[in-house]
Amino acid sequence: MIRRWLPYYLTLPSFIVPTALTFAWILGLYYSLTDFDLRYGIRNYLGLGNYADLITRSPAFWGSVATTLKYSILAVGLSTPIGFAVAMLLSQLTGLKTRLIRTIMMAPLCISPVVATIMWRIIMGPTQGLLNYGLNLVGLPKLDWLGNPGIALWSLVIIDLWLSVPFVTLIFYGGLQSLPKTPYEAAQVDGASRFFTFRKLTLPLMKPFLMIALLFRAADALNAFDTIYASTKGGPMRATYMLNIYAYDNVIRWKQLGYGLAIMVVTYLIVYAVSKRLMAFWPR
Amino acid sequence: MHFKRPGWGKTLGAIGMSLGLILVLAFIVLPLLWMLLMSFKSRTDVMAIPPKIVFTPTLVNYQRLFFGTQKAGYDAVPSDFPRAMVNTIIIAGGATLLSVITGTLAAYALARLHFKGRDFMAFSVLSFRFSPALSIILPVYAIYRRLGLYNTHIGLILIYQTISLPLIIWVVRSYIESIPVDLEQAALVDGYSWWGAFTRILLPLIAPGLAATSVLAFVFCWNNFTFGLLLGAAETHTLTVATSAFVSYEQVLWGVMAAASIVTILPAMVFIFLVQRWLIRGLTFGAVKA
Repeated sequence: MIRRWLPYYLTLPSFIVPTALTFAWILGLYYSLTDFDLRYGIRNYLGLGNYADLITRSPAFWGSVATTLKYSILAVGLSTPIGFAVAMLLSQLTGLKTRLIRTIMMAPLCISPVVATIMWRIIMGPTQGLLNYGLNLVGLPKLDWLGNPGIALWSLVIIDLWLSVPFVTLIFYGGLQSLPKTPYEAAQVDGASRFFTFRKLTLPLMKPFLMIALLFRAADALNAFDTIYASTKGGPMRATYMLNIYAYDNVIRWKQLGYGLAIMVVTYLIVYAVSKRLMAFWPR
Repeated sequence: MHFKRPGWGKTLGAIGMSLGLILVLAFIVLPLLWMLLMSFKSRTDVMAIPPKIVFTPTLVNYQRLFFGTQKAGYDAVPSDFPRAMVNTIIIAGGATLLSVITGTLAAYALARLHFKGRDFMAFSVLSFRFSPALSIILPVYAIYRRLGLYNTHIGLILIYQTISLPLIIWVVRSYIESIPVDLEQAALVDGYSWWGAFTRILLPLIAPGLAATSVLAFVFCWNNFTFGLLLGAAETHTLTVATSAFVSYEQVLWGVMAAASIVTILPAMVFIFLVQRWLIRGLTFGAVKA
């Protein structure tokens, strides 16, 4: 009889904290229907009032949705093909060189995003930064990388690429290493061109890895908080004001927990919809 | 039909390839090197234009980090960086230990035993990796304040489970699944209990993977920022929070900031270097088994 209950005994200890957090999350869902203020607590139940307010009246909401999506599309759209290209290059090399490059590429993977952002702030500094010095050397004007509303979002994308390209590269590299050899030999015998082999063989075979990379990257980009908080905090002029920052401001700065949680529920739904779509490709 | 490429085309391709790789590597390495250099620069050297590559290195930034004072209102108090270091070790270590003990058992059940709700359990714990951190932290923030868990090590260790637990459960599960079940069944036939089969047969086999995954979990906890920022205060500040605190409106201590970043990065880098063979599997929760 003990065999029957064994799975539950074994999983129970590890599920106490996740279960408690799920309850907290559900409580948060309820809070998002109220005017929970960190100073006064809950005074009124609003129903969908917070959500209606967000959609119809909040000037920052649609802007932050648009910024979040724009940032995510840029970050994922650039890191995936670059990572794929680098992985293809890496898989052409052999021996010591590959191992050395792979080790170097691991560096950003073990660095905290916040610390990486601080590092880029040093590089992107307007007066003494390395990047502006480089621009100066080739005769281009200096840029205020994180202070100019026109380019701040792109600067954030650069920071994200530094963190994410190695991640994507290593996933694809792992995938390329695991591809079967026979179809390639057959293609070679048939005299297929390199482009044809890539399109008709490599791409379809790499699809699961592409989906895994997209799944992780999309979730991370949509949930971006650390890098933005540590660099622009949503500025300048709300050029990088994303949903997470909007929620943070509502709760921590303006004490509006209920309203902030409504924003997070919307964010959650966006991430959930995207992840659910990609999760279907999770290899079993 | 074999198509011979002309020689120069091949050379040109090889040059292009090397150039691309060199660019990517420079993009990754140069910022790190620059920060490393900066952490050894004096205050005047940090601000020098054009930037100095050759300078007299100094340990003044590191000294200030560990033994210096910082402003708190009008008073000068000792730097809280050493305390942040201890806090991070306690929190990341505690969270990893808890996850390893509970998660390994769960991973065993999820890999070897058949029961109702197995897939649901596995995917619900994985969902923590993909949901926005703030959607969990914000309600927890309100609850922790009421329960008195706000700004405590225990409170942070519990919330850090959302980082370490999915990782341990999923990756260890994939390790267990990659080991043939026959060995354990033979042990059961020989009269071992499931516990005996688990601890004497399976655990030694997955030990290297388990150790590597624990190291990864520790590094992920070590690197986290949001939990410490929102659920901790001065007494429980973690390294990442302390490092980001060197940026304030009145002054930016570039040199000290660089030194703090280096100190925060170094342990994580050493750890990852030790387990790099297992890194991809860990980062993708067992989905990519390269």
